[in-house]
Amino acid sequence: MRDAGPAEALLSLFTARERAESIAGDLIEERDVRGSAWFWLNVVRTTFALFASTLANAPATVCALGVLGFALLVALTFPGVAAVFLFPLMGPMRSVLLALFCGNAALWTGISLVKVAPKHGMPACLTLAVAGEALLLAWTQAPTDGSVIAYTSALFAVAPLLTGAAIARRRMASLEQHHG
Amino acid sequence: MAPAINLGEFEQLTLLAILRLGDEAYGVTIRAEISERAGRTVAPGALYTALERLEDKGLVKSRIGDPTPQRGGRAKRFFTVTAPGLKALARAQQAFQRLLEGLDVLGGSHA
Repeated sequence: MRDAGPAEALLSLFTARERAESIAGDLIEERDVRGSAWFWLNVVRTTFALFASTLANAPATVCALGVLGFALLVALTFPGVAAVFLFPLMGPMRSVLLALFCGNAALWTGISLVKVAPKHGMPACLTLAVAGEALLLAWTQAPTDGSVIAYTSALFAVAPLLTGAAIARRRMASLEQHHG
Repeated sequence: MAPAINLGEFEQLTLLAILRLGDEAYGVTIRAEISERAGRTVAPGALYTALERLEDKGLVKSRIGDPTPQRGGRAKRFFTVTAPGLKALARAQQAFQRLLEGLDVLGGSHA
């Protein structure tokens, strides 16, 4: 039953903890007959279905939160990026500092979105991450030095954005369980 | 007066399966019932999102059972159809019945 914990944690990113627990239990019950590959495939498919369902049921809320998240990300990243460009540094140090500023801003953006909207915050973060990467991929068809730096920084921002949201979701779920 | 709730085909199948299963309606048995009676393979994700939607609309309610070892200590979530759920289902089925009147679809003449 070692897989149960991670499966439940993944499902609880997009639904209430007690719902995630019963879904994980149902999938575990069928795993003995259908195997581990079926179990994990359906954990991932169910997680995606829960995300898609939230997005389909409240597209305006999720998109508005995504825009709010983007504004927050830019606001939190701007001072650091401005400082790096105001005090020119050599190549590698500049990239490391940019990644640090972006990562830190993304982490706090993820946490803030989930705190503002516990149900829609995580889907908004995922939508923001996917939309941001897609836009950057479209933009870097003909890469320049600037676009490559922006693309690399954005890649460094996606993981902390989703990690921040996941940490906030888990913390809220633990509080719910504690009070429930 | 509250506006009437329209049900999709899969939502109707889910409600009917829950009604058929009575006290034993939870994720695994609902999927099995739909598969056996309607001949449709149901993805777990599709069922859980439908159940969540139906519960949010107040058409089903759920209760948590006892945790069992074969489920890794996870409890089952049992579903029952509420009065508004029954009403919405009856309304949807009546609409089908009215549309079927005078047609011989089930008799096989159109097969």
